[in-house]
Amino acid sequence: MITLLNIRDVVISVGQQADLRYLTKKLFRDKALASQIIKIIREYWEVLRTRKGVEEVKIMNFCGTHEYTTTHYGIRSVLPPGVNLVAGPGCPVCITPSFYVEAAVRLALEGLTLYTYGDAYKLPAVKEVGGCRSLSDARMTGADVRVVYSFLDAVRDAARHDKPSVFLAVGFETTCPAYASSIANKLVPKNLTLIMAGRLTPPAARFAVERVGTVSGVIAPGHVSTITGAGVWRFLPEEFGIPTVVSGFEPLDVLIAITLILKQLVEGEPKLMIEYSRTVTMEGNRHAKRLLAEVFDTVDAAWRGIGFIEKSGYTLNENLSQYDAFKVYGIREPSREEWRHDLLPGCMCGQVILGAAKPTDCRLFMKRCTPGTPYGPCMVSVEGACSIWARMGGRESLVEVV
Amino acid sequence: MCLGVYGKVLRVEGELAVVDFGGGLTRDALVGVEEVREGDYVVVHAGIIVSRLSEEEFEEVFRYVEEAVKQLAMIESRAAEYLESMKMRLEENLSGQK
Repeated sequence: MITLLNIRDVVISVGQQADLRYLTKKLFRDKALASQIIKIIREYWEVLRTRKGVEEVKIMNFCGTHEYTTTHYGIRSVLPPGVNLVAGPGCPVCITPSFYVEAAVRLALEGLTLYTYGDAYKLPAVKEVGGCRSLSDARMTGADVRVVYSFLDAVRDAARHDKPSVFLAVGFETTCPAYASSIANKLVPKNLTLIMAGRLTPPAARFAVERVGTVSGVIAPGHVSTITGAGVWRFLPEEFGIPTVVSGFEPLDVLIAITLILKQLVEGEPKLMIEYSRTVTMEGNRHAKRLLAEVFDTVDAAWRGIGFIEKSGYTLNENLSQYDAFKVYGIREPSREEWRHDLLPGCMCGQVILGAAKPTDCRLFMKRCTPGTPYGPCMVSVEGACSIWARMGGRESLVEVV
Repeated sequence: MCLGVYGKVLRVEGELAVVDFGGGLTRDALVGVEEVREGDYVVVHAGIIVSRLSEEEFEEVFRYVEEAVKQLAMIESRAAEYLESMKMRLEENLSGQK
């Protein structure tokens, strides 16, 4: 039997010159390698179909960047018709409850300086506040809303002007360590507070898998797992019998993850594997986890269009309330009983987020709701499934189109 | 949102590191990992280093592919060919890296 060459020997023989930034792009975007892996996927599918009588394999991803890779590189179109890739809850902007946006708009209109990321800037709320539906609307009416790349940029900017400022802090486990680290290291100036809307992915993954039911494999999020450790996904194979592969974000990463899921299905032994081992470990980033535990408490929290999910939200620790915009400006967060469905009429984002519907199932998709005039939250963020499909022409499979 | 960008650490100054993303772009990032040294390759997300890249692990993933092909080869005779052409392609790719 032929064996693959030992990459480590080659890479090391190249010495310190091996630039991992370019090596990744070169190896994991290679067409010739991809076409071989696609053949392997097809063969596995044939084995599953003919020998095991499997009619459909539904693989769910939990990261907007995986959905981007899948759609941008046309991965759906090269897969056998029975292998379907579905987008799960993988976009932190899409699931940020409307309530936080309304609060941010209100504070901006009251004269505070509002910071957030480009994605959340355009996120529309369900209710208008002072004629504004989003922070982008508020800025058009003259409010001081500033778009930043990172929390660090906001920290530095706020320290310069000393005006009361608020950061609309959305994000999953990958984004939240930036807040935790800045607070724990006392970098945040006194005039800057946070609307903390951070969320945890594993509880939502459990929720989606329980609701959707028929998931045969999971591509678990790579960069979330750098923080949490791949171990947090163990419940998927152990409790639900779902093969789970923590994958990287290059096209070959996704193709290899699909191969490994199909292999596990052939073997009939669901387990947890790390495809993205070049940066993910089982244990995760201990330093970041310690910071998160120090600064935040984990609470039951609302997800837009879905409702409350147990132990799925980060909230600032009680003794750090000087950083909590809601406490400082006397805003009360709605309780589970007070929470109302926060999607506009006709919007299917709740189902799209859970992987129960495709963007094209929605009657508003590319009609009332487009990237230029987004109606639902999934059309706003560049990581939202609807926005990705709208921009990249996501389709189930070429077969359906031809 | 969880988009990570690969970069190379130019220097570390306490809680901050200067990271080179290639193409002449460098930025400050918070150090979100236990230890980071000059010259390390890291994954940066929204201004924070979330993890380091391990050079040794680049081959690991192809071992999985190899296992998968071996398993297939037991069922399918053509599978061995895929491995041969992948091997050649990998060699080409990596030798160009020198």
